[in-house]
Amino acid sequence: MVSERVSPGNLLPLSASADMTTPLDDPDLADVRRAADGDQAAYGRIVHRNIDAITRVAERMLGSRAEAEDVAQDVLLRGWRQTVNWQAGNAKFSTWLHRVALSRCTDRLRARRETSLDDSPEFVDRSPLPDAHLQQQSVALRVRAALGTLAERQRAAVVLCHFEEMTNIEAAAALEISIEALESLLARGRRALRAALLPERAALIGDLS
Amino acid sequence: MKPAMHLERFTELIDAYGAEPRRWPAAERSAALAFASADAAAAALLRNAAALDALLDADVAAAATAEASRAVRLAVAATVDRPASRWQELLALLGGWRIALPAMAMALVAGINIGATAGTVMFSTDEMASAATDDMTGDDLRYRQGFAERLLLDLQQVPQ
Repeated sequence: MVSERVSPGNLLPLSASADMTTPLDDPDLADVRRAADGDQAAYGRIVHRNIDAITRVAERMLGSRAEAEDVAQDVLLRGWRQTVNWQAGNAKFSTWLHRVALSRCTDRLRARRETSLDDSPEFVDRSPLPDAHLQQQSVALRVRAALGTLAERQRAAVVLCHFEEMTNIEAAAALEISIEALESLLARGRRALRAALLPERAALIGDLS
Repeated sequence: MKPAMHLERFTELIDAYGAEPRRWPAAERSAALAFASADAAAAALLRNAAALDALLDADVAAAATAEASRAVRLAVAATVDRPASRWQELLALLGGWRIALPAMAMALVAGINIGATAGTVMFSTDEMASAATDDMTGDDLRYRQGFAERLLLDLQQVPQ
């Protein structure tokens, strides 16, 4: 039988050189092994450690909380199936989860482009804002809008490195690129964000103060 | 020979990772910090990058208050409660993959066709959301709901 190494879309197994980890480096590894033997509580701990980060990444990529939660659910269920085939040492399990999440987000963004003449993602949250966080949220919404104008790969690099504070090694592994390529995406992404946001800085800082 | 850190590389670091040292590559952080404290041009680069970081971090703080909804956690917990595939179910019955896989390999060599049992159970989003209730009744339903709720409770009780 060919092992069902989960490959969402064209997602290939992580390169051994991309994110070399030892068992001690991966906080999920012991629970991945337990989950592979059917330990549901162990997978529950993996879910607990990763669900919020995956949801945040997907929300920033898609500009939609509801879609992000669909992606998180899909990714974590694929993760459950993947535990049986997981090979320690190639990458952290959480890096693989992020890689699947980014792949899912790319699929959804592509589907949007194919079904809509309007290429710009919907990055406006119309839900009512609680008063206590209104000003900070208004800046956050402006940041989300600017983030939504970036090219997908630039957006993913900024989301992983700035917002999720992944190491450059982990982010490069999640994006399947070299460190040099990651830094190029980050620099171009930050340059575009600076051009979009800094002219409004005085007004935005006013919102924060 | 260039020193461990120089203006060209420091500029690349700040352009890519911003002004906050915790986001810099660990292997270059010490050298970059030392360079920043000794070079006037580095200070200007950091000020410019910090202005953008401050705006982006407003969104970091906003996102920190949001966490995956209870419904998503419950849906994952409920679906994880059932075997992810018939293969996993079979492996579990045979004592886990470490025992079962070698045995299956031997069976395959002997020509036993077990491929017919290898279909993977796939769930659509809607099926996953309703997996805990659609195809279960009686004790089965109570057990699955109980597990999902217990797992959700476990998730909520794990220290942040």
